[in-house]
Amino acid sequence: MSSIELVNLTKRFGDLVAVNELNLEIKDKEFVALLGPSGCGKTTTMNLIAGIENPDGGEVRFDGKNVGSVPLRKRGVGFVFQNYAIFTHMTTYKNLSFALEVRGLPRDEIDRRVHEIAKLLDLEDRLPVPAARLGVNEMQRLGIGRSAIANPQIFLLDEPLSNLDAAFRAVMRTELKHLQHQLGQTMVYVTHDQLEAMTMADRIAVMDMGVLQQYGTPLEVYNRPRNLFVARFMGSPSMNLLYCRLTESDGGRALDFDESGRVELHDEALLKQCASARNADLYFGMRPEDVELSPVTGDRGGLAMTVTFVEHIGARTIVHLRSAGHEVKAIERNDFDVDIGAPMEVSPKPGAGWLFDAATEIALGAG
Amino acid sequence: MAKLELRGVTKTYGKTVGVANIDLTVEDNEFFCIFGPPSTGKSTILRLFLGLETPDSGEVCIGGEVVNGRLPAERDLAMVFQNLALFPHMTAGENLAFPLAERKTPKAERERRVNEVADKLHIGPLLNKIPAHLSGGERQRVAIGRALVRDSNALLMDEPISALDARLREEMRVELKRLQREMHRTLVYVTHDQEEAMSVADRLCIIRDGGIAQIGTPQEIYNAPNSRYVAEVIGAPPMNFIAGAIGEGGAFSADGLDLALTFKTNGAAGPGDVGVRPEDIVIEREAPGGHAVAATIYEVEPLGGFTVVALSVGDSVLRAQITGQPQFTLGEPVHLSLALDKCHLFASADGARIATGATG
Repeated sequence: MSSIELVNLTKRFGDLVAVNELNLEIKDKEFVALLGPSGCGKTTTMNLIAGIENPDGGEVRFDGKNVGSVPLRKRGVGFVFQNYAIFTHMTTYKNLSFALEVRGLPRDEIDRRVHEIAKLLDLEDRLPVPAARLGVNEMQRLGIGRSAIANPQIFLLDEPLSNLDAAFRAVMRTELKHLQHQLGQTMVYVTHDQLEAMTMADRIAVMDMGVLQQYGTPLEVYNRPRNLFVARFMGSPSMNLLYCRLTESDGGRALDFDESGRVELHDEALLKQCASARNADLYFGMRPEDVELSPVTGDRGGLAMTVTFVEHIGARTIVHLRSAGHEVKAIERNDFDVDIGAPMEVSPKPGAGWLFDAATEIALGAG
Repeated sequence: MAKLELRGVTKTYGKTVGVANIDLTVEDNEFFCIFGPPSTGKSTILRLFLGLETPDSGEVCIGGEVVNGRLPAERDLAMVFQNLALFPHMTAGENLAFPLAERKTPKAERERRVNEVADKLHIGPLLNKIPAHLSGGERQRVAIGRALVRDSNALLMDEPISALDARLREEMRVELKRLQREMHRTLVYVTHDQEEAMSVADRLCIIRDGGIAQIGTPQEIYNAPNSRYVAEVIGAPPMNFIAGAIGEGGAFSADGLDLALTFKTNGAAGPGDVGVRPEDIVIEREAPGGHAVAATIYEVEPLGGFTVVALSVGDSVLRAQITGQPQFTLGEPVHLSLALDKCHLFASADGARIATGATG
């Protein structure tokens, strides 16, 4: 059992509040990503869990017990840093076996575990090679393997994939997640890359300026962002956020986008969100994959926009559109084609769309 | 603006080959992107154009003229490096004006050009600030502006935005493409980011170990990679490969899998690999018959707008990319089928593409 609980955790560096009254519960065997831009407090939080830093307030609890007085070495956590600390003069095998030899495990047990982890990380061929001769990708895998082999109950990783090339990163994401499922460790993963957090984590803690913005499963955070920060941070390209005003007339409720047009609200989910609007200044949020593009007819009541740029990037096409004061990105299929300068009518797909209060930046209905 | 060419150029450093017998032509006003993993010879190509390297053999041409003997300053090329060397004591405006001042451009003309470029790059309000007071993205714009401010034969850029964060890179690549179009410049652009390369390039040149693996539009390269190497480095998640054997008449049978496909191979036979992109794999819960293969769910990676599903098939793991947010359980048995017209067949021996499009 290795659950982690952070209770009102606070850490200051001089005047800077790096982590501010953070409350977070990480279950046994859970994979949690601490996600945010640089300076958001995610690495400090991890250092507090590990015992590298001591909190100025609040507690870190493992399985319900405050570990404030337990030193780093005795917390039983494994670490992987962005700058993998590998013994370059030793072979790959020796790097892996080292942690187990220190503990005095029997030789055949060590050998079995080294081969097991090397197979998992595709390093079997490289076992006799001095680590100095490994490529960047292999070095990173060795870094992960060296921590994983000791089988710590809590595994902390700080941007471990950021030095890898793109294609290999995609493979490592899957493998790391699979490794965690197999070894059953509690994993805390620090990253600034929303894609890594989405693909690997059971739950994501989105942080900004030392404050927890939202904590939930990847799809909860993606589908129901609590505020504008989370809405902007998750997804690539990020959510389209268009300033608008909520208007009411005999015909019902509508969103007024000034010169770009009006969208009448018939969608039930949107009408429900509107019910909790406290003021008329709003942001309308629409994921790029939820944007519907159609030829201009004038009677559908979408936004009139012009195509400014088309990016064909493999499986997807990103269409950039603009009107007076608004910009939208839409994701279309690989074979989608449209001319730059073409007029288009832009509307959300049925059931898609989020409203945020422009002043508080909180999602309507988010409580 | 001018056309740039390398004709049979080789450059070695001692025993290390920088580039080997390369032929390439960058057309006038083209956004030409050189893509490859680190240390494959991308930057060597830029340095050969700039005159910072002398070829061992072959010709470097600018605007149709051989420039091998010309000094860098005589080649009239503008360069933007990854480490943007702005003068820290000068304001953004002074940095922009520097290449013009150096060439003794009249003051009025200088101001007009600086304002024009600042306007195009949306950095007008920043002209009085020194670099230390600008953000990373703003500094990058100033560095790009400084290369754009004077007329030159061509612009060369070496990973100009790779130091910026992901979000900013997405914005800047669109900006760069817009600028290049609006200002009608020949642009040679080096990057190791495949998505960036696909997004900006009119044509893309894939470099492998100092040689050219393929040149084409991003669409051509994505849809018809001429080798397994190109197929692997373009596209994320990467293309899946299934090892097997090519028999008589183009019949492919996969190793350890119940998968048989037929390609038009013109007699090629021997070990082969079928390549299929993640978006060209369909997952079904019910066995659809035909060429479906039994698989189990290995991991599920939700990305919001789409989901990457890793599937355990025989001894290997294949990735499928599915639109939307489908729900699967780990270990769940499923069936996968391939979009046959999008399957490629590569020879295992040299990685060359033999055929595209299969029948079941």
